[in-house]
Amino acid sequence: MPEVRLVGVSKRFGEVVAVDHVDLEIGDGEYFSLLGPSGCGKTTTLRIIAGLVQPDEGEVYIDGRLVNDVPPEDRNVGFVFQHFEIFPFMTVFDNVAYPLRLVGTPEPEIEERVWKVLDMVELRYAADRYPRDLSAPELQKCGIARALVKGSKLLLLDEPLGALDPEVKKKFREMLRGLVKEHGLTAVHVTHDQEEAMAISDRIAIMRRGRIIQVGSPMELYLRPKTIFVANFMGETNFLEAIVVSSSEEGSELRLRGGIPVKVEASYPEIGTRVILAVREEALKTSKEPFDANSIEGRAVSSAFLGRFFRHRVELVNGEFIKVREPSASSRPYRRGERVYVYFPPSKILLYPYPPDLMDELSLT
Amino acid sequence: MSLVVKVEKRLSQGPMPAVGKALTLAFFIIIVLSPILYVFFQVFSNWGEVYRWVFADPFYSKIGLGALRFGMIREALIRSFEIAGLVTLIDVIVGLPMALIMARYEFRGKRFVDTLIDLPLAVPTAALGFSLYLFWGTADGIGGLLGIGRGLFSRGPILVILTHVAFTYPYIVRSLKAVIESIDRSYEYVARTLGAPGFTVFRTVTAPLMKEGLVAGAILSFTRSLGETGATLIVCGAFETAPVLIVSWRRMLLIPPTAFLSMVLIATACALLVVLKFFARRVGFPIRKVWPGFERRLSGRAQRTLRDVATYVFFIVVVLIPSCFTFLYMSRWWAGSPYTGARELGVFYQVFLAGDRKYLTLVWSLLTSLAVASISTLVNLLAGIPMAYHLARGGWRRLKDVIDSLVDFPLMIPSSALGFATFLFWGPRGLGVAGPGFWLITLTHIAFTYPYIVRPLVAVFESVDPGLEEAARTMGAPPLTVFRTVTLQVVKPGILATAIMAFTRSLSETGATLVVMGFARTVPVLIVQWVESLALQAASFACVVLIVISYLLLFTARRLVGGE
Repeated sequence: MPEVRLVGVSKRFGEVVAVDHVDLEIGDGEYFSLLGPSGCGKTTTLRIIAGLVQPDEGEVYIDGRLVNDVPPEDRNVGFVFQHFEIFPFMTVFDNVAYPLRLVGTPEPEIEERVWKVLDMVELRYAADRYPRDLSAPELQKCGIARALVKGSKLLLLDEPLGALDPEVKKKFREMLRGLVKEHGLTAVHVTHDQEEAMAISDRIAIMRRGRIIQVGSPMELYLRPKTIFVANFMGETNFLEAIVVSSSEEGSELRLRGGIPVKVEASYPEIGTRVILAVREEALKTSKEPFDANSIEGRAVSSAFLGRFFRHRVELVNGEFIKVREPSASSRPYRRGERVYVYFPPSKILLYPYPPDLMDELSLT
Repeated sequence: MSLVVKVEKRLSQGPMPAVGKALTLAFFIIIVLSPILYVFFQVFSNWGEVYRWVFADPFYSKIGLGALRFGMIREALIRSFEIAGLVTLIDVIVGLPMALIMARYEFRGKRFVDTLIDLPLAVPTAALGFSLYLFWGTADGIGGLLGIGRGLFSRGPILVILTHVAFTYPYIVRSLKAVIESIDRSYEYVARTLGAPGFTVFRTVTAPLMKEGLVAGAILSFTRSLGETGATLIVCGAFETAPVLIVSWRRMLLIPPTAFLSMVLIATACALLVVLKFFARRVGFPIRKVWPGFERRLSGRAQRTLRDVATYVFFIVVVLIPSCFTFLYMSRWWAGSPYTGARELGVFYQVFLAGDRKYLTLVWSLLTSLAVASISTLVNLLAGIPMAYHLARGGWRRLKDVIDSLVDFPLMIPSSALGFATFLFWGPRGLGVAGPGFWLITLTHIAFTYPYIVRPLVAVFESVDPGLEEAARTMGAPPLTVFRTVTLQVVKPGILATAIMAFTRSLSETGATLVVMGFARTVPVLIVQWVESLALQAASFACVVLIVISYLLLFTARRLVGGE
């Protein structure tokens, strides 16, 4: 049964360290995602698992077997490409039959198996067409069928939905997860789309600059991001600079810029240090009157109506800007310049040490 | 696992790929590079002999002309470079507007004009030279039309320039057209909206954008002209360019000075190209200054029309008609002399009825030509496909840049010098593998068509999406199977078209063949010989045969490329 294990895997391209000592364990039957911004090394990691890239260091195990010296054609994986890579000179049927013909499968069996996977991705009707006559979703269905036909239990997907329209993406997410779960496959899915990763995965690894920052279920990552980078990547988060004034078991007291006091439930033992306060946009609440001491006065800058949500931008009295997302049912648009109080719920505020090297990546406005 | 895949898997493993690469490289070094380098070795190892022949000939020393041959070499080189420079200048001036028309205008029959422009490519150079000589230099051509009763120009510099312009015209137009097509037009639209008239846009925006392509095109023309032998032989008379001088001296068996001349020609051609490429990056266009009134007037509708008409007229009068004039000549002389009606002077009689049975010679030469072209194309495909694939996929690692520029080496060298180099290397004075004759001709053709196979194939392989190959590997195909079942399938038409182009090149080659042949002769050589023996009617027939074959081949190649 396929489980994938990477031990201390590194890959350098010239000066660039694409993958930096990555350790990873992906369990049998798991839908696992590698998530991160472009250039973080997630695709290289996937290609190392497939054998398309040789790691400089480290070991790759598939099914408990060391596969470092096994060429990609012998790893028995299914690989789905972002740009489909459907052979242009073959029909859909022949594309899907390709892996079977390589191993000399008898034609009647090829027939049977190809039709079966084509049905699985609902592409039977296009079997005799050439790739140039297919739409992007059809091409990717063909790509998925081709990766599945051999019966590989390990499915590697490199941004498989990257070249598809948003509406189509959502359908594909369900289809992919369904196929993987139904046939007991293990999937490793590379994406830079946080929502996609959360919707499709059992577990997600967040990568940054070749390293894995945090691994966990979508909920863990969303609710308890270990680092400020993860907090920033998983969802829309406000970041504010603050100083710790006091801290105990029950919680801490902070001062924002301009000396504004804020109470939080998290404790932070290093009194007097600079920290970053992180709070999700949807955790904040706006009101006309202060809610309690954790409500901070500000003036509305803009209110955007997004259907199910309002997105308010507020300038706090200390001149910092903050974004608040509220359900349309329990909010209303504010006029520009209107006085607003923003409530910071103490239980929803996360504190991180001040990271000088990360500041330019975070939007602190 | 199917048997073929098993074999391919075995061949993709262990030391096999490295062995294949080594063989590819070895072929290139031995067949293509070594002869060229061997010339230098020959000259320096026999320097005493060479010196005597070139600088201190005992015979001519008596009359104070010991360095007579060196003087001839100098003269010939100067001529060659002057001609090449002038031809390149004319090419750029007349080729640019034609390239613009072909790249930018849409009109009915554009495809037809496009084929017409390529027509001189289908005319083997010896046939081209003959055709131009008939048109400009005989009473049957333009002279007769103007009622002069003799040719307009006799053999010499003007005819050489006219021939080279006609010969290089398709090269420059095609390369400039490709460059212009690759330019993003939005820059031009921006310049227009900012108030620049058409001509100013071209000068200040389009021209700087196409600078590198323009220089590359010019270099192409220059090398073509510098190395042209077959046509020049026919039209130059006493005005011998360096490649022609190689042929003449080789025929007189003056081997040491020919070796010296070949070496000098190879060295100067290469040095000049390196210098040109180096300076090309520094050339700038004067784009700061604008002459609004003048340039606006140049951009007018009437001026544009005038430019287009002049371009077409030049093309028709200087390139198209002279290149195809053989057909006209042959049809007029087919049954007999158009002047006296004498049947014995007609093409038909001369070729098929006369006692020397020229048609047999022609058939025999044609067979030789086809055999040489087939063998050299096939061999080069075998050796060139792996070479091109590795070049395109970075297979040579650090050696890549070196090999990449060395592959073009034979393109830069005049073919008669290359032929002579091959003769020295393989012939009795070198390895002694092959004396002048069929196999030496074949070896020479393999050497000079090598870049014609490899260069386009590199581009062809580069156009293959590596993702397709990776996809095949993840599905279980070993590298060699991937290459056979995916890569080759994608590039099949490209390879076929490239092969046909190389085949046509080989079919029309004259200069090198003249230098290495024994009794076996190819059709272009036959044409040169028949022209020299003033058997013009028979020569015209041979030309037409060769042109028709070449044209059909090129037409097929074009369909293959365009069809996909």
